[in-house]
Amino acid sequence: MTATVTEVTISTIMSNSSDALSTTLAIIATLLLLVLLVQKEIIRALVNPRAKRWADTLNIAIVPLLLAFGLVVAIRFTDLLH
Amino acid sequence: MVAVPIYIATIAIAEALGVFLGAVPSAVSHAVLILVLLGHSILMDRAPSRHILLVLALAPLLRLLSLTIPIREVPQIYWYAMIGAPVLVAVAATARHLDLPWSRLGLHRAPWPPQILIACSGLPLSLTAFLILQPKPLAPQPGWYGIVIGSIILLIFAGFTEEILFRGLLQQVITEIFGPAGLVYSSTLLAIMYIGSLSLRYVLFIGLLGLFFSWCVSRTGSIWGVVLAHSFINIGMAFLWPFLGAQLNLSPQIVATIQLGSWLLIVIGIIIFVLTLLQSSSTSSKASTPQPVLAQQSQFNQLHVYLSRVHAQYQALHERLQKWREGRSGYFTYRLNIIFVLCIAAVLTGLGIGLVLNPQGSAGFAGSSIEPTTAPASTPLATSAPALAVPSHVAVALPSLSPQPLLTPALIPTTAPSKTAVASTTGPVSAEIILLQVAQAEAGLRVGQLEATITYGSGQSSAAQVRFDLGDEQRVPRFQITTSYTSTDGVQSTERITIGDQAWERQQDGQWTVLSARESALKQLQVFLPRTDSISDLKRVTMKGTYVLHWYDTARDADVTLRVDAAGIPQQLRRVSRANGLVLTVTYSGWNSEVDIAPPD
Repeated sequence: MTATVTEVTISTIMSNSSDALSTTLAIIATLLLLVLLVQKEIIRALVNPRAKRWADTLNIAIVPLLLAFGLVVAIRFTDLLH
Repeated sequence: MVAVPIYIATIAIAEALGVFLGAVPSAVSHAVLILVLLGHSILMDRAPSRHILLVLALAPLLRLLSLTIPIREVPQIYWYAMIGAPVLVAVAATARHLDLPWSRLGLHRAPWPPQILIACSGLPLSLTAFLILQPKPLAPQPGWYGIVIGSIILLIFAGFTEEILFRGLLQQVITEIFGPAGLVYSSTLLAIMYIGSLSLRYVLFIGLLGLFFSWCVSRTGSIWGVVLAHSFINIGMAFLWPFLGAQLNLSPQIVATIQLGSWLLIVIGIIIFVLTLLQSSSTSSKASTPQPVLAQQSQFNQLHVYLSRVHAQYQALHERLQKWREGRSGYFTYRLNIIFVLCIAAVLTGLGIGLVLNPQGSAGFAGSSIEPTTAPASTPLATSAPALAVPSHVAVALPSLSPQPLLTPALIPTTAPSKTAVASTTGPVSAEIILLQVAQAEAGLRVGQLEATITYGSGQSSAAQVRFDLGDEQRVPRFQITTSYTSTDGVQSTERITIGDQAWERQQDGQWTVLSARESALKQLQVFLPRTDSISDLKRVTMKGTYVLHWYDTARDADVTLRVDAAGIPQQLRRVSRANGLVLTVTYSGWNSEVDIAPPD
């Protein structure tokens, strides 16, 4: 048992309703990613010398979420092909 | 930086939402927290405070990723890599954004003897962690290849990732503002992230362990030792102790002694930690303002000085809060109010979604207790992580029957109709509702008897007659199994009776021997129950006076056929292993029928 994968994670994924739960959770993560991307675009449009630093700050969450999104899509796609 | 404890408390609440209300409210709260923390850090001007908020945002990000990325079809060990890789990227991006070199993250070369000593502490701590949590193994029967791959994954994506996040990054930036108290903050946050383990004792253990690791890192300046120690703990819990523990057959007294000894070691470690804090506080004080008298003071005097400083800090905080109450510090009030409002918004959003999705508020995983390892007497089936408890030759025959948690009442959807409502409906009943009835029947099972047969691919077979009484507050649990194994050498028969913590076994010659009960009645019974926690590809329901369900059991890699009556009481179970062709057939001849189990004469 680690902080990465807890009993709540396991129970969520292994539960009978995991498909519906996974979809809901994926929507939440995708919405967060969208909000962050919109925020980043708005910040980049600002005429402020510190705007680049602010946009970089958002990258800390955007990049992993994009990675996760790509990973899940790739696995689902592979699963479909098989 | 009053906001830091507020944010840490909010993260704790978001974690608790996951336990009590389910994954969705928790994920929503964490998502909002990420936005709040990143937004707040953008608005902060002072570098150290901004850095702390940025790093704090990684904790909810870790949880959000851990809830969204795993896929049921992928083996659990690979979940660590799937979650850990994006988290590592986030850590690297944060370190780069904050211009933190590797050496400041504790990744530089350090003298190896203390690091090896720290790493070795992970072995006994691993046993302690296992005895506290008693998790099920990550894989039922991992080969050497699986163990090696699994260990590498746990080393990189669990041990290294968590240590670089909480010790390398968070501790580094948080001690810049809070000093040694930053160690407590980072350890507390680590413990909070373990709330999802559903064990309060384990969370406390992780908190103390985090303090010890933080102290090691602060003393040595390197995280390599604690990375290895953390990895040893994870690997031991996943691959070593679940199997070795069963082989060693440790008595409860030895287990209790080991637990007590380990706790004592931890307490001693914490005392050393506090003394070191006092020493470092005194040293830094001497460095700033030379006080030769202090150097000659005893440890008790130093403690007095330290407590005086804590008191002074408390007074300063009190005065600040007083000013805040009186409205003299408008800017401070404004900022703090905003933080409070945002944190409350994060929690309320998650809470609201949780209540909307589940009005009765019981979709969480905690059920009535946060301690899954201790089953309440009134609900003996509501346990998790049971050890496999099968008679010796039955265990040989059932290699694919890995221990899995039963479907607890807390996991049963609350929106489904009650049993009587289902029974009174006309027309076809959906498979899901019948499964719900089966789960309810399992949860209500107390006494009964069953007959089981196991057929091997070679034509050999075993048969077992089981009678059980799971007990209550007045009666101790009882379990009786009579097995007969048929092979080319003839028929071998044995009988075992377990009453409470005593057990007796009758051998071929008819002699009874006294054993120490290794497993409870409940754990021995679980193998024979139609567990519905890992169902996939539920195919069809046929009605011939009874219902027949077919599904694929992903956890055991087996095809299952279950016949139940109109009330959802299981009648017969047939489980065919895809791996080795073993067929287990269980006939439930007395579901909640009274049985009499007495010790042998």
